[in-house]
Amino acid sequence: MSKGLFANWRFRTSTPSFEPGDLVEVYLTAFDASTGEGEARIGDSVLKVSGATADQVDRLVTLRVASFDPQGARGTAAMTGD
Amino acid sequence: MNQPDSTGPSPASRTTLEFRGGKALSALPILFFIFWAIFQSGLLGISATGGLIVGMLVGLILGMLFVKGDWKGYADTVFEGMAQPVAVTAIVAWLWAGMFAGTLQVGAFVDGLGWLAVAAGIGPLLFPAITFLLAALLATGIGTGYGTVIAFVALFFPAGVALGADPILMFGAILSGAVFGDNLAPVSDTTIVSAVTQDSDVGGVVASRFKYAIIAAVLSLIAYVIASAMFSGSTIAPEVAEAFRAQTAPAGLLHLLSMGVVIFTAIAGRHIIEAISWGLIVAIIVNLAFGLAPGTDMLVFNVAAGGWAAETFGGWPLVEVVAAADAGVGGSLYSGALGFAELAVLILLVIAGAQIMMRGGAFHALEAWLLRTVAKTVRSAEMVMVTVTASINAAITINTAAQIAVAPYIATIGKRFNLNGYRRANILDANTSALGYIFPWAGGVLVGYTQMVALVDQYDWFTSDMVVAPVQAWPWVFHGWLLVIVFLVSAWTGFGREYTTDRLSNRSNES
Repeated sequence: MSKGLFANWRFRTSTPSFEPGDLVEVYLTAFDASTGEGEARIGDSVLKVSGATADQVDRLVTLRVASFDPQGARGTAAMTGD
Repeated sequence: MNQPDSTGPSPASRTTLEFRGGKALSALPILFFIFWAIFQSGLLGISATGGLIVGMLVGLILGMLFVKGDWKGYADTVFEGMAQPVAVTAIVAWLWAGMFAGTLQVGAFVDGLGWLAVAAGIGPLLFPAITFLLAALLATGIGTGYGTVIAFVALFFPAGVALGADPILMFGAILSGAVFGDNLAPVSDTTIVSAVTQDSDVGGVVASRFKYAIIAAVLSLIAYVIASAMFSGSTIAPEVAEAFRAQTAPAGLLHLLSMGVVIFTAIAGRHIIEAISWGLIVAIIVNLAFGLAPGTDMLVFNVAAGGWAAETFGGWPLVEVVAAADAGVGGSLYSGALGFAELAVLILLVIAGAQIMMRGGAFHALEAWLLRTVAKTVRSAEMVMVTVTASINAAITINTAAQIAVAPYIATIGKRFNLNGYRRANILDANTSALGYIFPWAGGVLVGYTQMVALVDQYDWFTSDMVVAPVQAWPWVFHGWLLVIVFLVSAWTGFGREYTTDRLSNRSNES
């Protein structure tokens, strides 16, 4: 525990970045039934998620990032099936 | 406090009561109580706990008049609230800590502390800062902020005041120490509730919240020294201070052993009832073995003179024959525990009022509104989490209960921005711990005040004008305020923020 006492003494951005190919574990934060697309909001960055279902909202899912634009803090990702 | 079993899934979001005039009316009993408390304590200057009981009772009756349909559901909800483990846990902590602190008091522990302070050259300038530091250490060790407040108001407060420290600063410093411990102690039940409700492990939340706690604590320590320097002049007469110095003696310091037993037993993972009970047993033995206090100082049956009982039992150990008007039970075990009887009733009623507010949907309506209108970005979401958590304490005066009530909403708002469990737990716990010792009607403040009033009977030199009214203390709880400010700044700047993509809290992995 002690080694963690001085961890994360840092200022974290409100728009975290991702690289294509990154595997991330996140809460699915929304699902749009009209497009069949999910959304994972990490801070103010947003990943549009393909392959998600409505009942996965607010649950932890594993995504593979497909693309990410750091300027707009927007990207796409796909469910890994976990 | 230290009661892991009181945690569990909160049914707070289940709405079962309907009110004429909408969900907001379910907050009427609590709001009425708060206005009553402000009117009675703040404006009229009457700090009596008994009066607050009547305020809460009247509030509960007024709330019932607005319930739609059968009033039985309302009555059942009052019982449901009062029967919650969290309220009973607080009361149990007060009773045990009251007996323990009272027994150290009759054992001259205050004289011992005074002797130590004089020997170490600690004067009024440093006494509040040192008191904050030691209260923080004790609270972190035993995990109960309430118990710490009781022990320190009974023991450190009179020593500090007698040596010329400002009473208001002393009370603020003690409350600050309690905030620190409730926030950081691994065995504190607010720590445990914050971890459990935010899918996190206790070790992880303690490690990750250290940075916020230590920043606020260092600033508080400095603030107490500066504030002491600014308070010019002692509130105590020089001859009283001199008389106290004359009676200080090192013998009472033997009770460091009694306190050590409580701390080590609690750190070893024993329940707080068990830990304080062992400390109490050691304190009684120390008092008797070293002649610090006779048995009748701890427990005495005062039997009316002239009766059969006086003739039969007079002369027995722990029995004293007194005038009929003075008959009764006495001693530190009695007065230490009984001092909190009124407060126990009040807290049960307040928790009942809070339950009405939850069952009536006022909380749920607030959360929905916040998510819809205010929490648009991660920064504003975190600001909302801080301010809502802090302000819920205004309504629910036991900080653990406030935390259980607000925890599901913190989880919901935080997960919408993928804030990880540690960050959510830290925002939740810091702000409930802090405000639970600031509002004048908060359990932590009232329990200290109750203990302080008892000092007037305990010491000849301690006069009622040295008692700090609950409404006087709030600006001086530096660590509480600084902890809230640290979190507001952290929310704004992103200091210490962690997302689920940075790391998952351990229990999330398991689920």
